[in-house]
Amino acid sequence: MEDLNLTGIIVRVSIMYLYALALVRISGKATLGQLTPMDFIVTLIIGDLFDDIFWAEVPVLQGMVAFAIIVLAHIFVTFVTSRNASLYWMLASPARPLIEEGRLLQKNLQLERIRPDDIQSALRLKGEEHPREVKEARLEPSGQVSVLKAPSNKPVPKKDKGLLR
Amino acid sequence: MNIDWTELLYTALRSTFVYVFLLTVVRLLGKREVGNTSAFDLIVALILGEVVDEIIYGDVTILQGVTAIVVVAIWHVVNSWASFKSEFIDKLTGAPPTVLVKDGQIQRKNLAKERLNQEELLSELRMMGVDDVKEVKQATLEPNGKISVLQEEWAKPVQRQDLTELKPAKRKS
Repeated sequence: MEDLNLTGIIVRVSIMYLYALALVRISGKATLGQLTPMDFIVTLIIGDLFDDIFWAEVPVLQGMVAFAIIVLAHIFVTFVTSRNASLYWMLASPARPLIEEGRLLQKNLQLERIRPDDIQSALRLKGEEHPREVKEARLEPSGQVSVLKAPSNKPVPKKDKGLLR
Repeated sequence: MNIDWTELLYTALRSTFVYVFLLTVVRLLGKREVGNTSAFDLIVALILGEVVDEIIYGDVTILQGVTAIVVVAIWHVVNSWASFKSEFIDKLTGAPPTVLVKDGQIQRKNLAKERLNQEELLSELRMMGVDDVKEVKQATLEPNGKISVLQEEWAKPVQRQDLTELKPAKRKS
């Protein structure tokens, strides 16, 4: 690549940095928060689009169009799914309960292919030692496990201060 | 099969150089979880990660690769410096926080504005161990895309200061 001069690289990198800044700003904060698996994929695609433009393997304009279409498609999809719950479930899997009232829900664990070790690990990460101390644990759409403690295992809320007397 | 030993050696040398160089750049860029440029850190990290493969495989020269990396790094520093210095640029490059729950009430308008489904909000609240939206004084979508949760006073766990208040008037030890 003899025609790849440094000035060209500097100009293309600068244009693309500012362009990315503008598009990410337009796409909104939620994409960066990675609330759905698709947010993550979109972020990866965006990051992957750059290098071919830097090395002039793709014209700047073509890169800008690709970038804009990915972001606009994601804006459109999140716009529609934020207003319609049933469409939202096409984008993200429903929050599936894994533990209820201290009992492991074997069927759901099997359905989500979560091994007993994995659920123990998820509980430890939330500071819980045993399922019986858990009111409810779910596999959330984001892919993380949420853990709600059993009331008996929770810190005393201030409204129940009287119990401490 | 014919193995090109010199090319393998060069690949190893270029990989080593790229690793050490990126280590330096990332160290100089720093990593913070505050400020709106922190939201862009991930994109910058991905860009840097993608740029290096052509350097390692020798598709571009070291000088060309280093130029691209340095320019990205300089823009990132300029970006964070400018949005620190100027409120205008800060507003231009980063979105202000959005309140999603106020005094136990879900702010549907703001949820729609951020294109978030109510299920996503409830899921995030569960991740924070909150199972009832009534317990939430304020939930905010922060500039970095994370949702913060402030609990109502009555829902917070009892604090040390509450114990002194509960203590019987005088107790002999």
